[in-house]
Amino acid sequence: MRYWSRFSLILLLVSLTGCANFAAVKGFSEETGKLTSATADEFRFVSTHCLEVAKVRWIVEGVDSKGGNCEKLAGAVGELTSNTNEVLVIYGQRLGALADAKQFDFGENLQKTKASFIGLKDREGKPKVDTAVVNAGIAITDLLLKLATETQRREAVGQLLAEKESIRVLAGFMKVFFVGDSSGTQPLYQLQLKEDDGSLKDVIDSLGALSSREPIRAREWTDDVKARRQLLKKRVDGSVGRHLGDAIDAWMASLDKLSSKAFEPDWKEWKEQYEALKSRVNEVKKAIDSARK
Amino acid sequence: MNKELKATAAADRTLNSAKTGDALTGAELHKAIYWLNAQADALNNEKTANTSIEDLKAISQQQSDLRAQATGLIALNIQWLAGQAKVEVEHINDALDYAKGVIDKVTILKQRLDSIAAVVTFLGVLLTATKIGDIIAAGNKLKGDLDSASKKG
Repeated sequence: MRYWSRFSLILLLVSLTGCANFAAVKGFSEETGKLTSATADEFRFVSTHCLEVAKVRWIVEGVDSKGGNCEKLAGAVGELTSNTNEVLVIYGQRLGALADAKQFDFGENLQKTKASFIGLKDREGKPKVDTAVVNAGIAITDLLLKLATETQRREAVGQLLAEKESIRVLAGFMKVFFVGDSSGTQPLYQLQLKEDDGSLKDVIDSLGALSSREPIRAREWTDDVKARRQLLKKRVDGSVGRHLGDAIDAWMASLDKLSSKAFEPDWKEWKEQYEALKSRVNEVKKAIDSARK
Repeated sequence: MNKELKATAAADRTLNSAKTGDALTGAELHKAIYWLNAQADALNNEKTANTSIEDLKAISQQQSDLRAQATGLIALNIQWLAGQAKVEVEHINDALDYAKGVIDKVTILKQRLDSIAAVVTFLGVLLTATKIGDIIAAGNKLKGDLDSASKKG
């Protein structure tokens, strides 16, 4: 009976404290994954497209394009990616893992406690303690485990959200690459893809000069190069970059809102911001998909 | 400053000493990147049905070198050491202004391509040299090459 009064007290305390709502954290983590996947794709595109263009020039014009500068570009973009995008990927994944109780590492001590309840058996393999007591003990241990881990999860999420100013700096660097800074100069993303577009235009003009001498080859390659320029069009005109910039802004605004009220259920302001974030991330996906056509 | 001296001025204009945190990055070099691309774009006007295969290849190669140099500038991130003599944006812009003045007047294709090649080489040295002497020598060579091209055509 002594057990039951103690257990009852614990159950009462549990019901009074309530459970944290990790849904907002989970949603934010998912949108972070989608956004950083899109930005990673575009970082990769800028890096690899330079060499693609060099190959085309070599094949069509017989030109040695000094691919060494494509390597410098890949190095510079790679460094930027690892210092920004990859950190944000991990940040989002950690928030998601903390929001998802199944992924969280449970407290070792409480697991041992639970195991010891289950393990209480006599020499004949029969449980030493009354079955009802064992079951109750396991139920309480499970509940305590849930509470302990939930507290730990809340604390861990809180610590991650407290880092928002550092995260803001990283997201800011990423945004400058895609959209530029307040001075209005073109972003490096757009500048480099304009280089590639310029090279492809050079090839089209070379093919034009060759068309009377090698008409079939010229026609085939002109169609190929025009298709490659079409892939660049929405990146060169700034529309993909603008969508990425808007999504990064919405992501930062969501992080700000989340950091103040992460665990409150039915929180209207969060819902509005979250819908805005999802919409911006969706627009990025559409912009990049349409750039591929 | 006397315009004819600008090319050498680009090299032996006083090289200021870097302070901690001074850097030269692609973000500052928009004028140079634009210049390189404008030269490459203009060379497309030389490609006609009557252009020989050899000239066509030389033009395309030059365009490729110009755009590759632009990519190099876009990717640039030089972090100067404190006290080190540093190359500044003005050095680069001065050299390009002088070069433009010469190239715009050169009508013979070979001389134009050689002049442009001289600028690309100069930029390559400017951005990778570790000794001041190399930069000054590159600036003098650029001026010499441009002046020579200007006389020939």
